[in-house]
Amino acid sequence: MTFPLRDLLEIKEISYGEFPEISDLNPRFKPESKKVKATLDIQLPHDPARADLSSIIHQLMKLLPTLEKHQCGESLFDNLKSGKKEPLPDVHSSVCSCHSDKITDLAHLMEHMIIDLQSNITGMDSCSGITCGYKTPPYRFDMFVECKDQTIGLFSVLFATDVFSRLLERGNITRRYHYLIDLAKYLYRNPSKRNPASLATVTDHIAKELVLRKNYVGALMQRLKDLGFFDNRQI
Amino acid sequence: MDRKIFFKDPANLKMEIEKLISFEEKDNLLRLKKQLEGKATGKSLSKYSRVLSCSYAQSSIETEMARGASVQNKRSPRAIGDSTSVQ
Repeated sequence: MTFPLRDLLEIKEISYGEFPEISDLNPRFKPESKKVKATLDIQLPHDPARADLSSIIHQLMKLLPTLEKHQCGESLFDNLKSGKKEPLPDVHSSVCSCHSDKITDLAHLMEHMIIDLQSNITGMDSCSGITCGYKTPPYRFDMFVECKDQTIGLFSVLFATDVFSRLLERGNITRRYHYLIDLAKYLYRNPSKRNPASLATVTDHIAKELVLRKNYVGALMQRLKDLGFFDNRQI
Repeated sequence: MDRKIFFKDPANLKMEIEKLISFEEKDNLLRLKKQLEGKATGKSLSKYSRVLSCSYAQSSIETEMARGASVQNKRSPRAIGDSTSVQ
C-alpha cells in the first residue's frame, strides 16, 4: 500500500497484526490484542515557531477535547490543565539531542491522537499504544496502537498525519477538521450510511442531521474517502 | 533413537505425537521455543533507542511513570515515559 509523500511527515508503512514482540513494552496491552502499526518519518519545519509543542497541544485539545483528560509521563497535558503553557521538560538530554527530543514528543503526541480518535469513533473501552524511536535514523518511529476496527485504525493514522502536517506547515487547524471527526463518528454509529454505494443518497440526510450544507457534506465525505474511512481493504 | 510409528487416525496426528513425547521432552521443547522467541524479540527491538507507552480507558484516570525503566533489558531500549489517559 502506498501513501502520499509529505514534506515533513512521511508514512513509510501501515500494517495490522498482533505484534507479539512488542506486547511486553506496555503492560496495559490486552492479551493477544490486534494493533495498527505505523512507521513514520518526522522532520521539523525550518521555522521553529511551527514546531512549538505548546501551541500544537492547544490546537489539538480544541480538536479532541478528551485529550485534556490524558495524563502522561511527559506532562504534556498536565501543564495545560494547570494553566501553565510551558515547553516540555527536556527529559532525554542525556541520550538525545534537543532536535530528536522535539521529534520524539511530536511522535508521542501523534500516538495520543491516534488513540483518542479510535476511542472516540469506535467507543473502545480502553486503548493502549507505544511509540518506538529508531536508533537510526533518529527521526523514524514505529507506533503500535490497539485497534478494534482495521479501517478506523488506518483512518486514524492518516487523519493524525494530515492534522500534524497542517500544524507543522501552517500552524493552525481549520473548522473542517472538527467536522470531519463529527462526521466520522456519525457514520460509524450509523453503519448503513457508511456504505460507499449509498453515499450520494445519504448526503442530503446527513446534511440535515448535522446542520451543514449538502455540498459541504459532500466535500467532507470525499475527504473521509481519501483518508481511507470507507476503505475495507485489509492493511 | 529410531522409532517406527504407525498412526491409526491421521486426523489425530497432533494428539498422537503429543502422547509419544515425554513430559521431559515437552519441557525441553517449550524451553527451546521460549529461547528462540526471546532471541527474535531482542533482535527486533534492538533497532529502537526509546519507547513511550500510553493507554486510554473510558472510565477512570490512571497514570504511570516509567521514565528510565527498562523495556527490553536494563540497558536498551529505555522507556522514557509511560502514560495513561481516560475519559
